[in-house]
Amino acid sequence: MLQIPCPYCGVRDEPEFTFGGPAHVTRPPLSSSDAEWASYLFDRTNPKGVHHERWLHAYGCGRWFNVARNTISHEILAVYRMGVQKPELESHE
Amino acid sequence: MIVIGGGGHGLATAYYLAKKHHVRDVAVLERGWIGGGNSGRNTQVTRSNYFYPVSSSFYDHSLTLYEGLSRELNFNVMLSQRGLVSLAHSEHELEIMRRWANAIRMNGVDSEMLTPAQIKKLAPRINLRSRYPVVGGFIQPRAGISRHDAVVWGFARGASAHGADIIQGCEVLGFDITGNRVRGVRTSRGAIAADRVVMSVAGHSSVLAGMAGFSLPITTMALQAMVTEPLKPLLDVVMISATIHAYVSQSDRGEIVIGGGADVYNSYAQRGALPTMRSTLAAVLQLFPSFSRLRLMRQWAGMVDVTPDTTPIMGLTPVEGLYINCGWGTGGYKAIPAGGETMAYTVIHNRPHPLIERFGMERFARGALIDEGAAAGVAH
Amino acid sequence: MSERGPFRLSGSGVLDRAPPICFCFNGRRLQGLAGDTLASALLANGVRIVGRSFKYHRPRGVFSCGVEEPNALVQLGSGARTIPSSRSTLVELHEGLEAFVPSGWPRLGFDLLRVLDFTAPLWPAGFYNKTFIWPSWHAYEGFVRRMAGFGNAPDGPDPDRYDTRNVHCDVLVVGGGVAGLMAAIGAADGVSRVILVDQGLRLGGRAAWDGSVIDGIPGTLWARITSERLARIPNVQILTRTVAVSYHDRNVVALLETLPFEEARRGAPRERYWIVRANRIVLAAGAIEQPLVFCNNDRPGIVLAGAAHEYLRRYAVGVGRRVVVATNNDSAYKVARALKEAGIQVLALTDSRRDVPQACVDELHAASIPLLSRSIPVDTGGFSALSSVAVGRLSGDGNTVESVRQFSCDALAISGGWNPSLHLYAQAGGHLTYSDRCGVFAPVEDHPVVTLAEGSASPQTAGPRVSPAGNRRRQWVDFRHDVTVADIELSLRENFSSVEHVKRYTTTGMSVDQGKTSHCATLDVIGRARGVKSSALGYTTLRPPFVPVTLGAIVGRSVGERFAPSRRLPMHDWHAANGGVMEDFGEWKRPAVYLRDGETRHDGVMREARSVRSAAGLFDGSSLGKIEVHGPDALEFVNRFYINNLKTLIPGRVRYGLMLRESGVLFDDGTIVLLAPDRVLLTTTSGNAGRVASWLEEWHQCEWPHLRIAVVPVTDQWAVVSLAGPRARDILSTLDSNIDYSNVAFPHLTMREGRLLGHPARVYRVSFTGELTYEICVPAEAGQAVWDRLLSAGKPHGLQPFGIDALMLMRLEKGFLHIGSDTDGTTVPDDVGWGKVASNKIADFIGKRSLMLPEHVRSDRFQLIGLVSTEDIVVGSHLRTSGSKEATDGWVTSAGRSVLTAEPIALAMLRAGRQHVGSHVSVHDMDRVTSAKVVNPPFLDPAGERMNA
Repeated sequence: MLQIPCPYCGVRDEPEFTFGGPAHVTRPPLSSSDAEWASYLFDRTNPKGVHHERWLHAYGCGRWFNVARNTISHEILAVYRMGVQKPELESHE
Repeated sequence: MIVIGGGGHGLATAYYLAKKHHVRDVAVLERGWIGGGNSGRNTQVTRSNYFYPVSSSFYDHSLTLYEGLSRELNFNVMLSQRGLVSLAHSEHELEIMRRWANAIRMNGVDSEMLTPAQIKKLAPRINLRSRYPVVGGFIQPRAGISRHDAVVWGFARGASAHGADIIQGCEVLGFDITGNRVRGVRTSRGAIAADRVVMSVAGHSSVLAGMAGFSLPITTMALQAMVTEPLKPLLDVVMISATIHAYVSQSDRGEIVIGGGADVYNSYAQRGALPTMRSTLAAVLQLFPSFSRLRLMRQWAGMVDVTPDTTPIMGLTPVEGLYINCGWGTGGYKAIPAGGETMAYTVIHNRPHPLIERFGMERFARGALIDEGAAAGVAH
Repeated sequence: MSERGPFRLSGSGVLDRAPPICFCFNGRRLQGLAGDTLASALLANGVRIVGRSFKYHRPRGVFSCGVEEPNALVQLGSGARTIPSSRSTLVELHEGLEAFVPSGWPRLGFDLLRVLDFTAPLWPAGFYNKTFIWPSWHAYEGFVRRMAGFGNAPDGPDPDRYDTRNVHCDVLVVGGGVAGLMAAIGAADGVSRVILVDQGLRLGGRAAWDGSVIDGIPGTLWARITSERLARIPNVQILTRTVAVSYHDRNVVALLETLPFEEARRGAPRERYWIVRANRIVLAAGAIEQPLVFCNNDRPGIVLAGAAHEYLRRYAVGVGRRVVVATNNDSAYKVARALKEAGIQVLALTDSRRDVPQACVDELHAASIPLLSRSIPVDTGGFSALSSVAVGRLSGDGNTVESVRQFSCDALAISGGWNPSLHLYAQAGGHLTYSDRCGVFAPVEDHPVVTLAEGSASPQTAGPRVSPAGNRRRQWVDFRHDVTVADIELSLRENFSSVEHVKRYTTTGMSVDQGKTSHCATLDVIGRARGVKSSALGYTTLRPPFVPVTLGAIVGRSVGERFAPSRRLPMHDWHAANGGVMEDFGEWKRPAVYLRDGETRHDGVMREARSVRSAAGLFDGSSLGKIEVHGPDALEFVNRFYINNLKTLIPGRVRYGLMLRESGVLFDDGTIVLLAPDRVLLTTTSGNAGRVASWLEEWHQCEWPHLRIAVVPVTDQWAVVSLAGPRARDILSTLDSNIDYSNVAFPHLTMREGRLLGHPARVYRVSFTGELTYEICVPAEAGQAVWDRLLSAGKPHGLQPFGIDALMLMRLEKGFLHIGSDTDGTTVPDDVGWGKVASNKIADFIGKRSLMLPEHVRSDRFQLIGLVSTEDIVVGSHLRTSGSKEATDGWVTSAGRSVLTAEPIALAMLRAGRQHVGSHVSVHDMDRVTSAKVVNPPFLDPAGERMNA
């Protein structure tokens, strides 16, 4: 059970949150090609390692924020507000 | 030829390449030990009750192969076609379920609607009156369970007997690609040249695809399974509720085998989260309150690669000579024989087998998803 | 010996003066003492056979004194309270306890199925993979399943309850023995929250009974003083009878607490499941003794040496009268001495080491026990229970046996070393290494969270564990699954040589004890057979839970109705009291129909629908999703979600809109009203209210934070009473209100705000039934009052309440879309006739780009059409057009009988449906095939005169 440090509320249990998929996904304009649009909809980096993702504190403050998490150890490496750039992380194996 | 991945699909591919297509030099590369991935971690549900005709044709072909598999491989895979019951918990759900049950019949596959009384007769211990009462369901009589290790080992022995090499402890570290054509692989045990390579690695598919320069629409997640201590026979069918997210069966050793929904965040950990375990067990106790005093003996998880439409990705890739078989999500075990057979054909002919033509990666850019959400649901 | 059992010793043991207890084992009435476990009581009574082995039905006896027990498993109690596979070593004896062993036919002591033991060569590991193929597995399965299971499930719901506790702490100490107590004392500075757990009844571990001396005082006394001292420190919590069962990502440990039997009977929970979030975890869980492996090493009377010691000192029970002790390490020496001092004959102690430490030699010498060094048991005798042991002297290289001595004895206490209990550490991702020198595991590296307590016993050099002589088919490695050395060697010959494969092929370590006393020996055997160091083999993954955990305990109180909450309408009680058949619609309980006496459900639905069409009906629509969007950019924001162009919206006008997912599929439908330039009011389907509100928030927070808006869900704040039917206006006009309900002032598809019966009201003219409808929204707490007044005002006009079924039937007649019935996860706007609206909107909206993907512009997609027939149409039937080559051409999404004409009608998704209007299709439902004609909906009042009245 992940212990997620909500930037607004502090560390809370996983069931209080909703997972929101990858972060920093840019929505392409209407003029994009089918391949570009499908890539936006469906392609995933799905990394074995650090994943930048969105979480919502659904049963708490109701705010979305970003998390950098290791998908093997589940260790949370960084938490940062929605709209903020990806932080620099030390290399984690 | 190289098959990357020594799970059920990879070994079956090698088997059919060697046996049916008489390929003498095919090697299966497995980074761990064969069957150590999802093939050895699933809950063994073997069924073909799918909605869309294109899915149904494929999965029922696989079930038909399962029906003759013990004899084909001369290895008892212990296929027990005891029936799979899917439950509906509201009138609306029953309508959706009837649509599904009729679809299956239209596909030429067996299914029957069931009343609550009929369900009770099949599973006397079921509680029809829980928070979400059971208002009906349907059964695929030919569905059931089989023995996952035996399927893997049977195909491995068969492939090996027909000349395939199975190399364990061999991890693929990169591809040798020139002129957009695959020439071989680099592994932890050296380089191997090959002009046809199949990737059959489930949760690691994105990792391998990344090495080959393309991406896939898959997310790798943990899918948990649990068993209780073994008991005398008390459940003779496989029972699934997509509404409350649980499925239950009893293995031939007597253990109650339980599965539920996947943990929804990306994970390569092969460990399930505690909240999911608790909610899955809560769902099981809704259906079978008398299981409350049974004890959880062992709990584990696999690493499932989930696609946006819960339909697999099979066929050619942007790299010539490189073929993909992935995206099985929570439902790859039942597909092992047909997965191997169709991939073997695909590799030999360099075009998808008719049964899998619509499962190619290119379907996403066209918006041609095959959404078996209802059919795949919680079960496999 | 005493009257409290032929093997009960007086003058020793903690239980010396405990009162007697009566219990029943396999129908035999026996006596034990308060404080006994079932196992110690059985041993005291000289009960030697307590089980039959899984495959060969060999007799088995009590083997250990703890969680690792592989043999003495019983069915406890009966009926709904029974507990299968209970370890008698852990069951606290209580008055009237009933235990039964479900093995052996005709009975445990005389089992005819032992014929399987005599034919053992026919049943090696994995034999079922090579046989039972013809004619099929089904021919054999029933028999195998009956043989395989152990224990019977309870036959009714669980009468006990289970609690869950959630706690946070700074330090969790697992294990309350000497090391654990020291660690807890060290961590308890008065401020830090410390939790100490121990599986025993009292803290102290072995020190509480093994006669050791700590800091100069007897262990028992030390343990008591230290426990009391710990309990007095603030912020310390001590849990006894509690096992740490599993570690979960991240830093979460689950504990299982078992409450005393009498407390559970008095209404307390039977067990508690603690979920502990700990900053640091200290593991002081002791070690589990491992057996030696030799021929016939599984007979009743063969026990772990540490267990023999504990039975003696703690329970005053002698495991036999003539005992041989066999070991490969130092720990068994004090056991031999203790047994001798208690008056038991100790015939010899064998040690497989060549060089025995002098202190051990001296200890034996002082007790006059013969020492046989460089020796190991090689065989045992005794058909039902142990009667003799053959001890062999090992050759120089240890690969053969040079000479053999026989001992006539009734007990053999064996010690193959102590394997540290590192389960939680391993579950937390810590790596283990197997030591060839010690024959047990050790941790490899430090773990950031799980540390091992100081003073945890460090492994000692040990001698050989596996006898080199004798028939390997008779040397057991895993007692529970009857796995022998020969089985492991067979697995290796068949090329299943990795430890994981050996485990799965032979099933060693896969039973209820999960390999606690077989893991090490398995590695020894594999290493020897493959000619490699066991330390190089790796090991099988240790999986949670450490001990089996009751399912009910894990679930806790989320049973029965508490599994999921249900949402109730403001007028719920009225519906339930007035014939409302309350059913689940998503989270909501809603009335499907209001049944009158003697009426079938179908009759009730038709009656309600007819009354709406001919007079009036009242419907509780309070679950309707309602969301306000406030702010200067409200309309701009909302416009990005719907396929409809909302920029042209005029205040007071209601627009019906469709909302898509980004993939282009239909997500929800509802209405949009402009309350003010900076205030928009949306409605959604009942099931999606929460999802749509979340969806709006998500896009605002993540994608368009610059838009100045706030999303305000108000679903629960407003009750919705729908008054529908030709008489609706007549009825409504009799109520006190400042709203003009005339058609001129208040046309269809508009909304008026005002007051009704003194309450603030928002009234919509929208219609799902196709009749003149006023959808009245008042504050939720006023809902019942408005409902009551409307009912009484409407009664003279023939007003009746109506439920969901009637509503759905009436909307079917009008061909109105029902999201989730007529649509699924693939339906796009054009499929249901809204393609033009979507394509005419120039501005971008969620899903717009997806509608342009090739698959979404095909002309042969499934499209929504209507069906009429002379025979009833069943929802979920499939359709085929004439001449079709496809398996199916579509399916019926909604069906019923026309309210006024009783003609069977339906809505359906049909491949290229719009091209087939006017032709016939076959309708397939299970075995039944009928025919229907494709038409354009609606089936009633196409001009909409009724709702525009």
